[in-house]
Amino acid sequence: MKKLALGILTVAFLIALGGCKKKQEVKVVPPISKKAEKKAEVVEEKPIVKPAVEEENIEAMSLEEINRKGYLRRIHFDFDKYNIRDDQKPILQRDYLWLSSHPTVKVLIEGHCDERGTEEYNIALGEKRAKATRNYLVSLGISYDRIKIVSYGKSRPIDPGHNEEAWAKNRRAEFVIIAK
Amino acid sequence: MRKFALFFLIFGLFAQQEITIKIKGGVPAIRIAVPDFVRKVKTERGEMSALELEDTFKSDLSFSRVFDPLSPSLLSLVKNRNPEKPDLKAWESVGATVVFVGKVEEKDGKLRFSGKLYDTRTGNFILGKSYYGDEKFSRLMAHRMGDELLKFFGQSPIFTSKIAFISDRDGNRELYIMDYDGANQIRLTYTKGMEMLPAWSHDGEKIAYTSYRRGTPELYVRYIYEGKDKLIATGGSNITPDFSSDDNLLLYSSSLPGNPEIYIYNFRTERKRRITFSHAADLSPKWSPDGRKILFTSDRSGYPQIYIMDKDGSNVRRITFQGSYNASPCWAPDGDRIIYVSRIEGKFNIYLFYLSTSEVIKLSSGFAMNENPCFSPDGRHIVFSSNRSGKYQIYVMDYDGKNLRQLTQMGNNLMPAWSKIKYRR
Repeated sequence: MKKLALGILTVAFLIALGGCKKKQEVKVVPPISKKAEKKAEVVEEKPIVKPAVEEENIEAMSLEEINRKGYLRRIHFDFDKYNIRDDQKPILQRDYLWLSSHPTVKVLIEGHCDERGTEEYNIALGEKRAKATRNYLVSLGISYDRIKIVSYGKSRPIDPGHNEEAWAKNRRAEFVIIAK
Repeated sequence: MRKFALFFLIFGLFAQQEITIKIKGGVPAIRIAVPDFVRKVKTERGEMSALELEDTFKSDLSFSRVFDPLSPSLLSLVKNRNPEKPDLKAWESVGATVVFVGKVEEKDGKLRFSGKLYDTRTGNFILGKSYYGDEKFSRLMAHRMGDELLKFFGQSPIFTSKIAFISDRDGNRELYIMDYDGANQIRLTYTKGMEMLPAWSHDGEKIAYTSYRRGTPELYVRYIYEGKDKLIATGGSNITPDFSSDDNLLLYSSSLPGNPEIYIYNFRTERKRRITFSHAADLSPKWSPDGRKILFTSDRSGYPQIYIMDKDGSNVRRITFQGSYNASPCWAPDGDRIIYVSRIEGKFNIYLFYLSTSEVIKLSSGFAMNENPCFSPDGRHIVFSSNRSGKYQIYVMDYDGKNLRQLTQMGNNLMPAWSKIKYRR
């Protein structure tokens, strides 16, 4: 009897324990699994999506289509200035990554100005902006002969307005892919 | 000049008296009476052309600031209108110094425009001219007659002068020319690129300008009446040309060496010579009327300012000290006055500067972009572009800022350049 009673107790205890364990598992497991999934997603994105797939796209696309996609982002400048602003450097660093992963691509950098300069000086200023942009990319490692420059002065504004918002948009260096 | 000498011979005494008249400070010197022309026309078209001719002639004279035409009310006081024998005493009594009697006749679909100029005090007939041509050249005949009057009084002819400019009325910026009064606007380039900053040769047959037809700003010379282009400079940005008075040397700015520097192109040798050596942007070189000095702008002090140097690039001096951004200079034919734009709060206005006294006078006003000012060949008028009415349009005003008139309407019209005449010592 003693043995039996002990056996029953043991079983009951085990059952109780088991119950407890189940409850603990239900509580703890979900957050862990979520975190695990998130990590897995991030790890998967990097190697798969970017270079391989886009490279093939470029081969198939015309220059016009490539330029419409806007792989290379324009940067902006301060009034009457042509130095690369610190907040614009990350954009050029991204442009650099794209250019270095597409080594056959050649680009034209267009320098543009807002309306608050003479036609003549804006040609000079736009050229300085295009050059500063080229020099920055060259300093990161892009070959000099892959980049041509041109200045359009104030002749091609994005925004025809006459206010600070429009001017800020119009002071820029833009990329045009001219060979793939 | 030869014709001029002839007048001297024929009307010796009188001509000498009249030529000493100086038109200064905007005071019109010559009170001229222009009674309505005698019209002998057969067709409606002839009538229209004759009226246009007369209007053109009269508005030329009022525009000139050399002549002060009598008002219609004064004209109406003189009753005797015999064109063969004008009542000079009566014209003198209403204040006229000279009387111009014009006649327009239609012959075989063509017009003959003849005019006679009389002096009211001496009673002398002092100048007679006549033109014969197709009706469609009625404006030109009026301008030619007006120029003869200007020349007779020792003034530079400007009524047949032209203005080159850039317009985007057909989509992209192309090169155009028009008469000085805005008539006969003609498109010259069809590059589908972009044209900018034209400049005339003194013979009136060439225009130097910048074109993006091959992607970058290159300098070309257009031979207007041959329709041909000559490439002058390529590589970098090549802008702001200016012809020497013999049309053999072309000043321009090129950023080929890394930053904009000033060059001289020689048409005879087809060689280029660099004359500025700075780390700044040197732009907008302009020959002095006597060809011995060059005006230019440079941002070597941090912002654009106007400088003067000898024609070999030596002896550089800064001349503008008022305002933080002065550019786009243009030299008056007298060699003493220059006009330029100055930036204040992001807007441009036009200023007049006397080299002899360093006096500065503001000519344009308002809160708009007033740009690329250029003197007329006689230095009495200024053409410029402005966006005061929204889009950029071309305007003309007198040297004192008066008599503003708009010459263009369609699209944006900018960067005007007035044709030149040869410098006379």
